[in-house]
Amino acid sequence: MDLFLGIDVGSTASKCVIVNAQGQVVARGLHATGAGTAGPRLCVEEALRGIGLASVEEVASSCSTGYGRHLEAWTDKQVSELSCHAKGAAKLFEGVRTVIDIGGQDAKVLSLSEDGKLVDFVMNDKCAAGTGRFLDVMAGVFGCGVSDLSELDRESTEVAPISSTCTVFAESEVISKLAAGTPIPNIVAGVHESVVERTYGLAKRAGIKPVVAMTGGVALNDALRERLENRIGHPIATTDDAQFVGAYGAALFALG
Amino acid sequence: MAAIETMLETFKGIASNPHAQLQKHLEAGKRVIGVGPYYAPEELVYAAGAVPFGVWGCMGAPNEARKYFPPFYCSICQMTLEMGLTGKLEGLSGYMTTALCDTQRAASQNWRAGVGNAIPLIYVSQPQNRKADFGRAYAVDSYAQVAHEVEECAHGIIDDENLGAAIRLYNEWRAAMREFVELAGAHPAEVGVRARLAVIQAGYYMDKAEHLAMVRELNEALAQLPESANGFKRVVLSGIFEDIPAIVEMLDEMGYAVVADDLAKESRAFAMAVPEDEPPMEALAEAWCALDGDSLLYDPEKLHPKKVADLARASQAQGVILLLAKFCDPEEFDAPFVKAACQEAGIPFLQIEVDQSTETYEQARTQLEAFGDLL
Repeated sequence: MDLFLGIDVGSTASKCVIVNAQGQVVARGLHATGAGTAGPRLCVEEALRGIGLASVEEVASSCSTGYGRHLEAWTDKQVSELSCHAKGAAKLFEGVRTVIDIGGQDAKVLSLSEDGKLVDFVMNDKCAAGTGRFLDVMAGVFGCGVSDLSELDRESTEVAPISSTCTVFAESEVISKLAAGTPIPNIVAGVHESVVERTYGLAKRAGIKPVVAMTGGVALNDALRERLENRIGHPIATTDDAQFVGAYGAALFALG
Repeated sequence: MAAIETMLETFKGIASNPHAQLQKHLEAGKRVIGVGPYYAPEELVYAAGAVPFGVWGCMGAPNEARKYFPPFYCSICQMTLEMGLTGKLEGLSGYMTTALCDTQRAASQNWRAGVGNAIPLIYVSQPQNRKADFGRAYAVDSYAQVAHEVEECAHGIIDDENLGAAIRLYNEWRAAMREFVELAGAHPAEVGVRARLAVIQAGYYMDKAEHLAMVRELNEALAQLPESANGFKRVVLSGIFEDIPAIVEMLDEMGYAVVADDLAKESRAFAMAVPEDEPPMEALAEAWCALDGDSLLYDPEKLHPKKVADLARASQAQGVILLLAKFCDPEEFDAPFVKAACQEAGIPFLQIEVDQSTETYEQARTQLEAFGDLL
């Protein structure tokens, strides 16, 4: 059986997907460290183990993507994560025209043509506000895991606004609100609204056309995604494997 | 081909070491006057017998200049003052700058406060109301005042004869540069992005007559060759400047060809044509007033965005890359309009933020790779 490997070396996590000749996922690997660490190797090893392979030599072709893609010189090709997320999302979400990808250190909005080709994109600039890193920092301030933010948001009674667009200043603002006795769920709701507003601005720059899908780790934050749906006025499709969409797209590029 | 390579190496050598050029001029007994952005009447400097020397900042951190600027400030302004404060411009007899944006205006006064008489400022006040008679009259008066200041710094006298000669030389030089931009766009296999930039940069540091002779020789050699743009990703660069080594390297590495540009430091600066049959001071002012379709100029009909899209179409570019100078208000205000004009014309558009104090452009790499895919 011919197999094709895609690896997405992000700034905060490494993801690997192996597909068969029909483009179906047969194995995956994930490690919570990214470019410049052992993460890429470990996620590849996990995926290979999943399908009973001993080495990458046994796959027919491979492709790397993500921030650290050029460090993976062993792969047959390197393709930008913008192209890979577009390809992966086009395969996963029927009729998708807009893909919102919020990763560890950047946020991007991709516009796809009717036949699923990438035709335009915008990325965040100037700072990390509105990205996964922003949420990591905030979770650290609240003393919880980033995966707990969604549940905390659901306990909110109102939104405590976070006005700053800078991660560092927003952290100070959150600490001030905590010191003033504002309930944590309300501050979490404010943090989410802050991400939503930045993402909305980015999406408006790119143009929002339904079907809208969301990829990247932040897509797993249900409360944030629902707030974003309300803001942009369209339902947002996603998958439990949102983190793997870039790696999946890379595997599809390896497949050709 | 070998001759072209040799010529390009010479340009690269000059462009990569402006300080050596400055020393060369000084050792030849010339007075040298720095000329900053944008569209300054440097013919006045040439007519006074001094060498105009381009000063548009440089890559680095504005450590000393931070004292004079808030953090969110144009990097060209910050790094130019940094150069002045740290002795990198020692030997200049003056520094000429215009004030087409609020940022530049304030920066010119910071120069006076920081560098002071060590390198006197020659402040060129150009009218934004260029089409009205009062605007033209203002430009003539302003240039006459500038001429006096240039004479003091250059220790030379400007008269109609030497100014007329300088105007003729600069007209020829700009025409040769326009021709070069076109030839380089048609011959990216011979003149890559970095080499193209080096030819242009060298013009900012060399005596214009010498640079003109070299560019003409290069143009003649390129004109003999068949076009080589097939297989390249043909783009128009828009913005203020492209002199960011990491970006230029990526463009070359990814097979981009700059078939035309709308950069203030390049083709926008080469666009001016000064009338040769009018009194020279009036002619210089007239040429300024005739400029149009530029983010830095008062543009009530918003000609600039359409001009970029038209340029892309005329040059058969596959896309437009806007190198948006960080914290440049005029460019940021125009950017959405430029994008819309390109989209309306069906031309793919990419915006990348650049500044002289950022050295890592990995996000830009991702954007350029993806943009290349969609071309």
